Amino acid sequence: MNKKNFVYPSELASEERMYDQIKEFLIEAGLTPRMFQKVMLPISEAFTNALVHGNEFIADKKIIISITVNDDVVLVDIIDEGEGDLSPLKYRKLSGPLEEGGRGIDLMSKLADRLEIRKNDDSRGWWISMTFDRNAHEYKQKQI
Amino acid sequence: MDISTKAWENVTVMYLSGRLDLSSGNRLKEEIKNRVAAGKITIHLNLRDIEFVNSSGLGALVSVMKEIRIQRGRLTLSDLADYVQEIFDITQLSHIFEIFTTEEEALNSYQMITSS
Repeated sequence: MNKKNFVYPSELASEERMYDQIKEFLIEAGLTPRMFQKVMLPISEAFTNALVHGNEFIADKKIIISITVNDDVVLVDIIDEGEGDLSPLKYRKLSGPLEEGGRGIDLMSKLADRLEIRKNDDSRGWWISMTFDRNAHEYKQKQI
Repeated sequence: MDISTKAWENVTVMYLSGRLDLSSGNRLKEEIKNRVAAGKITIHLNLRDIEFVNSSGLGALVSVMKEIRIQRGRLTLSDLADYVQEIFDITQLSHIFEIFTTEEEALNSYQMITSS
Protein backbone atom coordinates (compact mmCIF):
# COMPACT_ATOMS: atom_id res chain seq x y z
CA MET A 1 0.00 0.00 0.00
CA ASN A 2 1.22 3.50 -0.86
CA LYS A 3 -0.02 6.43 1.18
CA LYS A 4 1.08 10.04 1.16
CA ASN A 5 -0.15 13.43 2.33
CA PHE A 6 0.47 16.62 0.38
CA VAL A 7 -0.01 20.11 1.81
CA TYR A 8 -0.20 23.28 -0.28
CA PRO A 9 -0.68 26.98 0.41
CA SER A 10 -3.72 28.42 -1.33
CA GLU A 11 -1.95 30.27 -4.09
CA LEU A 12 -2.03 29.85 -7.85
CA ALA A 13 1.57 28.65 -7.96
CA SER A 14 0.56 25.57 -5.98
CA GLU A 15 -1.44 24.24 -8.91
CA GLU A 16 1.58 23.26 -11.00
CA ARG A 17 3.49 21.84 -8.04
CA MET A 18 0.46 19.81 -6.97
CA TYR A 19 0.09 18.28 -10.43
CA ASP A 20 3.77 17.37 -10.72
CA GLN A 21 4.05 15.86 -7.25
CA ILE A 22 0.85 13.85 -7.42
CA LYS A 23 1.61 12.63 -10.92
CA GLU A 24 4.97 11.37 -9.70
CA PHE A 25 3.38 9.64 -6.72
CA LEU A 26 0.59 7.98 -8.71
CA ILE A 27 2.90 6.74 -11.44
CA GLU A 28 5.39 5.40 -8.88
CA ALA A 29 2.45 3.69 -7.15
CA GLY A 30 1.89 1.74 -10.35
CA LEU A 31 -1.13 3.39 -11.95
CA THR A 32 -1.41 2.95 -15.69
CA PRO A 33 -1.47 6.15 -17.78
CA ARG A 34 -5.19 5.57 -18.32
CA MET A 35 -5.89 5.18 -14.63
CA PHE A 36 -3.71 8.16 -13.83
CA GLN A 37 -5.80 10.31 -16.17
CA LYS A 38 -9.01 9.08 -14.57
CA VAL A 39 -7.76 9.96 -11.09
CA MET A 40 -5.82 13.14 -11.79
CA LEU A 41 -8.65 15.15 -13.29
CA PRO A 42 -11.02 14.84 -10.31
CA ILE A 43 -8.12 15.61 -7.95
CA SER A 44 -7.38 18.73 -9.98
CA GLU A 45 -11.04 19.73 -9.87
CA ALA A 46 -11.24 19.29 -6.11
CA PHE A 47 -7.98 21.17 -5.65
CA THR A 48 -9.19 24.09 -7.78
CA ASN A 49 -12.47 24.12 -5.87
CA ALA A 50 -10.57 24.33 -2.58
CA LEU A 51 -8.21 27.00 -3.91
CA VAL A 52 -10.83 29.26 -5.48
CA HIS A 53 -14.07 28.71 -3.57
CA GLY A 54 -12.94 27.20 -0.28
CA ASN A 55 -9.78 29.04 0.72
CA GLU A 56 -10.33 31.90 -1.75
CA PHE A 57 -6.61 32.20 -2.57
CA ILE A 58 -5.71 33.04 1.04
CA ALA A 59 -2.20 31.60 1.05
CA ASP A 60 -2.11 30.96 4.81
CA LYS A 61 -4.99 28.54 4.44
CA LYS A 62 -3.81 25.08 3.48
CA ILE A 63 -5.12 22.50 1.07
CA ILE A 64 -4.40 18.95 2.21
CA ILE A 65 -4.51 16.07 -0.23
CA SER A 66 -4.26 12.55 1.15
CA ILE A 67 -3.91 9.65 -1.28
CA THR A 68 -3.87 5.93 -0.60
CA VAL A 69 -3.20 3.45 -3.38
CA ASN A 70 -3.63 -0.28 -2.93
CA ASP A 71 -4.20 -3.13 -5.35
CA ASP A 72 -7.92 -2.47 -5.71
CA VAL A 73 -8.65 1.21 -5.19
CA VAL A 74 -7.26 4.71 -5.05
CA LEU A 75 -8.62 6.72 -2.12
CA VAL A 76 -8.34 10.50 -2.22
CA ASP A 77 -9.27 13.11 0.39
CA ILE A 78 -9.00 16.84 -0.33
CA ILE A 79 -9.50 19.14 2.64
CA ASP A 80 -9.54 22.92 2.72
CA GLU A 81 -9.76 25.46 5.54
CA GLY A 82 -12.17 27.92 4.01
CA GLU A 83 -15.57 29.06 5.12
CA GLY A 84 -17.17 26.64 2.73
CA ASP A 85 -20.90 26.67 2.27
CA LEU A 86 -22.38 23.47 0.90
CA SER A 87 -25.64 25.00 -0.21
CA PRO A 88 -24.34 25.99 -3.67
CA LEU A 89 -23.56 22.32 -4.27
CA LYS A 90 -26.94 21.14 -3.05
CA TYR A 91 -28.95 23.64 -5.02
CA ARG A 92 -26.71 24.34 -7.99
CA LYS A 93 -27.94 24.04 -11.53
CA LEU A 94 -26.06 22.03 -14.11
CA SER A 95 -23.58 24.10 -16.06
CA GLY A 96 -25.00 25.46 -19.31
CA PRO A 97 -23.00 24.83 -22.48
CA LEU A 98 -21.77 28.40 -22.74
CA GLU A 99 -21.02 28.93 -19.07
CA GLU A 100 -17.37 29.25 -18.20
CA GLY A 101 -17.58 27.52 -14.81
CA GLY A 102 -19.54 24.91 -12.95
CA ARG A 103 -18.21 21.73 -14.56
CA GLY A 104 -15.80 20.66 -11.82
CA ILE A 105 -18.25 18.90 -9.53
CA ASP A 106 -19.87 17.16 -12.49
CA LEU A 107 -16.50 15.87 -13.68
CA MET A 108 -15.68 14.57 -10.22
CA SER A 109 -19.06 12.88 -10.04
CA LYS A 110 -18.66 11.24 -13.44
CA LEU A 111 -15.08 10.06 -13.06
CA ALA A 112 -14.93 8.96 -9.43
CA ASP A 113 -16.56 5.65 -8.50
CA ARG A 114 -17.60 7.21 -5.20
CA LEU A 115 -17.77 10.89 -4.32
CA GLU A 116 -18.63 12.40 -0.96
CA ILE A 117 -18.58 16.11 -0.16
CA ARG A 118 -19.08 17.23 3.41
CA LYS A 119 -18.07 19.89 5.88
CA ASN A 120 -15.06 19.36 8.09
CA ASP A 121 -15.78 18.21 11.62
CA ASP A 122 -15.07 21.73 12.91
CA SER A 123 -17.58 23.07 10.35
CA ARG A 124 -14.87 24.98 8.50
CA GLY A 125 -13.97 24.08 4.97
CA TRP A 126 -14.92 21.22 2.70
CA TRP A 127 -13.85 17.65 2.78
CA ILE A 128 -14.07 15.88 -0.56
CA SER A 129 -13.53 12.12 -0.56
CA MET A 130 -13.25 10.09 -3.75
CA THR A 131 -12.70 6.42 -4.45
CA PHE A 132 -11.49 5.05 -7.77
CA ASP A 133 -11.79 1.37 -8.62
CA ARG A 134 -8.49 0.28 -10.16
CA ASN A 135 -10.24 -2.62 -11.88
CA ALA A 136 -12.63 -0.35 -13.77
CA HIS A 137 -10.32 1.30 -16.24
CA GLU A 138 -12.95 2.75 -18.45
CA TYR A 139 -14.64 6.06 -17.72
CA LYS A 140 -18.12 5.69 -16.42
CA GLN A 141 -20.59 7.34 -18.71
CA LYS A 142 -23.39 7.66 -16.22
CA GLN A 143 -25.88 10.45 -16.62
CA ILE A 144 -25.79 13.29 -14.14
CA MET B 1 1.60 25.63 -21.02
CA ASP B 2 3.55 26.89 -23.99
CA ILE B 3 1.99 28.70 -26.93
CA SER B 4 3.49 29.14 -30.36
CA THR B 5 1.75 30.74 -33.30
CA LYS B 6 1.85 31.02 -37.04
CA ALA B 7 -0.25 32.93 -39.55
CA TRP B 8 -2.09 31.02 -42.25
CA GLU B 9 -3.89 33.38 -44.62
CA ASN B 10 -6.16 35.32 -42.28
CA VAL B 11 -6.18 32.60 -39.62
CA THR B 12 -4.01 32.72 -36.53
CA VAL B 13 -2.91 29.17 -35.77
CA MET B 14 -1.88 28.58 -32.17
CA TYR B 15 -0.12 25.46 -30.94
CA LEU B 16 -0.74 24.73 -27.27
CA SER B 17 1.39 22.30 -25.31
CA GLY B 18 1.42 21.12 -21.72
CA ARG B 19 -1.47 21.53 -19.31
CA LEU B 20 -4.56 23.66 -19.79
CA ASP B 21 -5.72 24.46 -16.26
CA LEU B 22 -6.53 27.45 -14.07
CA SER B 23 -3.29 29.37 -14.38
CA SER B 24 -2.53 28.51 -18.00
CA GLY B 25 -6.17 29.08 -18.92
CA ASN B 26 -5.91 32.63 -17.63
CA ARG B 27 -2.82 33.19 -19.79
CA LEU B 28 -4.55 31.71 -22.83
CA LYS B 29 -7.56 33.98 -22.35
CA GLU B 30 -5.33 37.03 -22.12
CA GLU B 31 -3.31 36.00 -25.16
CA ILE B 32 -6.34 35.40 -27.36
CA LYS B 33 -8.32 38.39 -26.14
CA ASN B 34 -5.36 40.62 -27.01
CA ARG B 35 -5.35 39.17 -30.50
CA VAL B 36 -9.09 39.60 -30.86
CA ALA B 37 -8.77 43.20 -29.71
CA ALA B 38 -6.19 43.66 -32.47
CA GLY B 39 -8.68 42.38 -35.04
CA LYS B 40 -7.46 38.77 -35.27
CA ILE B 41 -10.84 37.11 -35.00
CA THR B 42 -10.25 33.84 -36.85
CA ILE B 43 -8.23 31.55 -34.62
CA HIS B 44 -7.37 27.90 -34.81
CA LEU B 45 -6.05 26.03 -31.77
CA ASN B 46 -4.00 22.90 -32.36
CA LEU B 47 -4.25 20.91 -29.13
CA ARG B 48 -2.01 18.02 -30.20
CA ASP B 49 0.46 18.53 -27.35
CA ILE B 50 -2.05 19.25 -24.60
CA GLU B 51 -1.48 16.49 -22.05
CA PHE B 52 -4.08 17.57 -19.48
CA VAL B 53 -7.16 19.76 -19.38
CA ASN B 54 -9.50 20.46 -16.49
CA SER B 55 -12.72 22.42 -16.15
CA SER B 56 -10.83 25.68 -15.64
CA GLY B 57 -9.05 25.14 -18.94
CA LEU B 58 -12.33 24.29 -20.61
CA GLY B 59 -13.83 27.44 -19.11
CA ALA B 60 -11.02 29.48 -20.64
CA LEU B 61 -11.79 27.99 -24.06
CA VAL B 62 -15.50 28.78 -23.65
CA SER B 63 -14.60 32.33 -22.66
CA VAL B 64 -12.47 32.98 -25.73
CA MET B 65 -15.01 31.30 -28.00
CA LYS B 66 -17.71 33.68 -26.76
CA GLU B 67 -15.38 36.65 -27.17
CA ILE B 68 -14.61 35.63 -30.75
CA ARG B 69 -18.26 35.01 -31.59
CA ILE B 70 -19.22 38.42 -30.26
CA GLN B 71 -16.75 39.87 -32.74
CA ARG B 72 -18.27 37.66 -35.47
CA GLY B 73 -15.08 35.68 -35.76
CA ARG B 74 -14.45 31.94 -35.70
CA LEU B 75 -12.61 29.55 -33.37
CA THR B 76 -11.69 26.03 -34.40
CA LEU B 77 -9.88 23.22 -32.57
CA SER B 78 -8.01 20.20 -33.85
CA ASP B 79 -5.74 17.30 -33.00
CA LEU B 80 -7.29 16.48 -29.63
CA ALA B 81 -5.72 13.51 -27.89
CA ASP B 82 -8.22 10.74 -27.15
CA TYR B 83 -8.21 11.63 -23.46
CA VAL B 84 -8.85 15.31 -24.15
CA GLN B 85 -11.60 14.43 -26.63
CA GLU B 86 -13.25 12.32 -23.92
CA ILE B 87 -13.31 15.29 -21.56
CA PHE B 88 -14.96 17.38 -24.26
CA ASP B 89 -17.49 14.59 -24.77
CA ILE B 90 -18.23 14.12 -21.08
CA THR B 91 -18.86 17.83 -20.64
CA GLN B 92 -20.78 17.94 -23.94
CA LEU B 93 -18.52 20.74 -25.14
CA SER B 94 -17.78 18.71 -28.26
CA HIS B 95 -21.20 19.90 -29.43
CA ILE B 96 -20.33 23.53 -28.84
CA PHE B 97 -16.87 23.82 -30.36
CA GLU B 98 -15.92 23.26 -33.99
CA ILE B 99 -13.52 20.35 -33.59
CA PHE B 100 -11.58 18.86 -36.50
CA THR B 101 -9.50 15.72 -36.53
CA THR B 102 -6.51 17.47 -38.10
CA GLU B 103 -5.26 21.00 -38.49
CA GLU B 104 -5.32 20.56 -42.25
CA GLU B 105 -9.04 19.79 -42.20
CA ALA B 106 -9.70 22.79 -40.01
CA LEU B 107 -7.76 25.18 -42.23
CA ASN B 108 -9.42 23.75 -45.33
CA SER B 109 -12.76 24.62 -43.79
CA TYR B 110 -11.71 28.26 -43.68
CA GLN B 111 -10.80 28.09 -47.37
CA MET B 112 -14.17 26.58 -48.22
CA ILE B 113 -15.96 29.39 -46.44
CA THR B 114 -13.79 32.01 -48.13
CA SER B 115 -14.33 30.58 -51.60
CA SER B 116 -18.08 29.98 -51.22
